[in-house]
Amino acid sequence: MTRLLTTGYETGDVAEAGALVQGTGVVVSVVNTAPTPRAGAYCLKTTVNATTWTITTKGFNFGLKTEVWVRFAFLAHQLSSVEYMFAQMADSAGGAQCCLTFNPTDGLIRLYRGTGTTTLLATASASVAQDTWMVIDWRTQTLTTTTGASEVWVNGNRLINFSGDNTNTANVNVQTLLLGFLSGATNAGANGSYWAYDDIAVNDTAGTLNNGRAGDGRVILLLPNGAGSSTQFARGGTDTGANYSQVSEVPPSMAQYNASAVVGNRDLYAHQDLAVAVQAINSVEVVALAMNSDAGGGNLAPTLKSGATVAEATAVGLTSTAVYVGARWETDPATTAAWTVAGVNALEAGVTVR
Amino acid sequence: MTDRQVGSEGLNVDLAVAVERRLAGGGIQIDFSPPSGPLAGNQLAGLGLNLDVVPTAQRRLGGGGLMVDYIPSTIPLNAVRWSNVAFEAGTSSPLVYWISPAFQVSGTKPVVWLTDHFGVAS
Repeated sequence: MTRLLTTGYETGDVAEAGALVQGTGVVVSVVNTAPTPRAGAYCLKTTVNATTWTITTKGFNFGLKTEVWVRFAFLAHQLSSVEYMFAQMADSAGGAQCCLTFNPTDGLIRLYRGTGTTTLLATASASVAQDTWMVIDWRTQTLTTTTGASEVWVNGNRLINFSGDNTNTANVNVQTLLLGFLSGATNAGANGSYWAYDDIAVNDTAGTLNNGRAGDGRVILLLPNGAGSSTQFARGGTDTGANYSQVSEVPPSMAQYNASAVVGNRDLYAHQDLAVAVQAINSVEVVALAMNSDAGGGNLAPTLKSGATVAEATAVGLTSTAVYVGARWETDPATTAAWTVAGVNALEAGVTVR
Repeated sequence: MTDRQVGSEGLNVDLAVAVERRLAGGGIQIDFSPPSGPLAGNQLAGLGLNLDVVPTAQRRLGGGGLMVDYIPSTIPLNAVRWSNVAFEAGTSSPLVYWISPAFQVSGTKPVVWLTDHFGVAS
């Protein structure tokens, strides 16, 4: 039970996940074309749109850990020959521990300690191509301030296997994955370059599931397409005629919503079926854009119904600003076993007022 | 503090209006039009109901869905399966493999059906 984070930006909303550090000269967006997403309908894109730019990143805080496996699909569209960072591990204080770079000249990914290209730890044993999605699995284990381990797998092949000092700070941990343009530069030739990311996941090594390399996973979003077994919210905003259609728009918005002030009220919806051939399902998460109607306190609990089993996650506190909340199930609560396609297709999902 | 003093002067103006009302009572100016609004009658400077209420704060759900992280199948959609009765495809029956000179139920590359003949998945 150790999936820590999952996102593929399938809501079409750049606010779905990650803390944005917005510098100048770089646009962070969610796109469904240029490039074509690796899976689902959207991916994250960071684009240089000036000859000079400053650090612009999305940061994914997965909690303080000493060992994590990060997976993300990566597509490089680099118009200059300069080597730039595209991913970084930061510690609990936000300091850079190590980073990955891509060099368009030789097509090699490199692992550096700290930030920038000063302390090279390892170079990939094979090159990768630009403008093609690759799946990167990046393990970072911090043991002491001078010992640790890093592995980088690309499309299922381990290209970097490093043991040694992979911590640049005095904190023997990692806490945040940073993606984007991790350093500023002036490079007229790079104007128009972009990094694209998709299918982002973070595992730690505890438990029996999702406790290592996430591998060739894809992240998709199944939207509400019918009423579930509980409809206790009232429609607000633009009335689309049914509760499930109030919350099925992409990207989500509060222009049409379902609402309730009664603790215990629950709205559940049927969802689209998986339309792909599946080998395994790593995790299922309820994703919800939610808010309170005023500045007072209020909570919503993401809720699943699998068979006759209702699984209500820990309630999440809301504010008067709409934010994405969610909860994750790594096994089917009805069986406590791994998810099956039939189990996912039969799910009802929604929220409960708390 | 200066602003509050100005407010007090506003009340003084009200008193001046009361003087005008006295003149009206004398019948000297029978076509007198009293000042409109609160200046014309008994004056109430403020009123409120002090309530202790529990707000009906709504929790609003604007959108969402089920986010699934899955590993795609490596089995071809046209993989041949054996139901113990017949060959079939698109079911959950065991896959069929060809290990010369016979079909088998285990192996590495499943047999696939290619429109009008069997093949082996690449």
